[in-house]
Amino acid sequence: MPTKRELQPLSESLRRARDAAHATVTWVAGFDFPDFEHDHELVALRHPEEYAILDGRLVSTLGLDAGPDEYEGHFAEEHVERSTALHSRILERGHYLAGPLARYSLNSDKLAPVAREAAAEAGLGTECRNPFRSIVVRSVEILHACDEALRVIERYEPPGSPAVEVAPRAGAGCGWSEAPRGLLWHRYELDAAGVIQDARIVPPTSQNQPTIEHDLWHFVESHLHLDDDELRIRCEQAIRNYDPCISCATHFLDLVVERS
Amino acid sequence: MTHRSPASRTLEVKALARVEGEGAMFVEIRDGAVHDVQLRIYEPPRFFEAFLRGRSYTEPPDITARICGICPVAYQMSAVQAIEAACGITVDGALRDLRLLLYFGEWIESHALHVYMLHAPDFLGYESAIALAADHRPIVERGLALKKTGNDLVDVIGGRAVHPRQCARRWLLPGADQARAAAPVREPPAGA
Repeated sequence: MPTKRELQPLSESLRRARDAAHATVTWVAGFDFPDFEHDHELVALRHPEEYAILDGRLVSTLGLDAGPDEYEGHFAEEHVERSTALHSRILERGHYLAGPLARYSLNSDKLAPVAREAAAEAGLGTECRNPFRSIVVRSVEILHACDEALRVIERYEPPGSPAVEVAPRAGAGCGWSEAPRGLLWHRYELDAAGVIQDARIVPPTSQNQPTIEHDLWHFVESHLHLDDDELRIRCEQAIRNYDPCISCATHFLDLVVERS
Repeated sequence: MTHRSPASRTLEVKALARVEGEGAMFVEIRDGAVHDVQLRIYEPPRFFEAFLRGRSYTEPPDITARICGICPVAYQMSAVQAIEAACGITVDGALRDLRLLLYFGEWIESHALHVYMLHAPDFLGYESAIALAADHRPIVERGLALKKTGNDLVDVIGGRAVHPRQCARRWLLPGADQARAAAPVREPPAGA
């Protein structure tokens, strides 16, 4: 376990990083953002005291409120025709968005004060629905992470024991957290000896896939006046708004969506 | 790669740059209206869920971390909490604080990578962060320094900057070593 003294050098570099993060928010806030907003259902963890990262209840802008064991009762993954890919959807409602915009919009009241102030200076309200501004939200989250890390180091005392005994038992367990790109849910089923019988992993990129395409569709529709090169560049940028991690979306083989 | 006619055209990017992994984009416009939009993902599937079956309950944090070199901590934290839930354990106090620190490190390095290297060039009209650095070296250096701070945090808490191991071995998945010795399952291959 690290001693309190071993964490001190981190505090020094985190203080510099916090300044750099603040400068980052100011820098990206000055970029030009296309006038483009969406009304997706936003889904993120919420914690009573923290800007949720490690745990919490899963909430949404349309009233979802669930624990990790209830995930499968609210979400479904489905095969899309002509594809082996899995698309996540909220049962009864459809596509949704996880990740920085959802976290910020649902939890901006829980940000560290320095991050909340920087967000306001950068022109963000209490929620943000322009995916092109996700770069501002990510920068605010860097600032928050630097500040919170400093706070945790300050209060840190090495735990009495480096380990808590975890005896295996038969049964299933679910867990989740906020990956940089959004909700990451795991479920494991164990036998009495702790041998895994079944595993399920739902990464953020497969959850956001339908939403990315939804945005692309509407972005193209409202920007048909752009010439081909400009439109193509803007579409690539629209995909990057979501920081998709294709290597994480382990289920995908080839994704094709047609809408008529 | 791009065809043009007054009202019908297709836009295609066969290998998207500045995203993590391999994907393509296809947009078809017919008679002045969007006809088709596809984000094609042609990277092969990786079968992690299948090969976790038969492994020990102590192994998912190390194994699933390999799904991503940018967000391994996210996989470790979701995995470890799912297993603890299955075993009826809650970890709090200083051990939870160590997990938070590890995760903040990952958010800092992952977001700094995306903001500076992958996304900012779009807004400033550059094709890459390398091109951006030619004109704005101090800004790109600031991004790299931020990323390094995040990596250093993961390194100090987790034992190394990418795919940290301490969290699963010693501090944060308690009892892992004893359980590994006792579990009647095969050992992972070296480097897994």
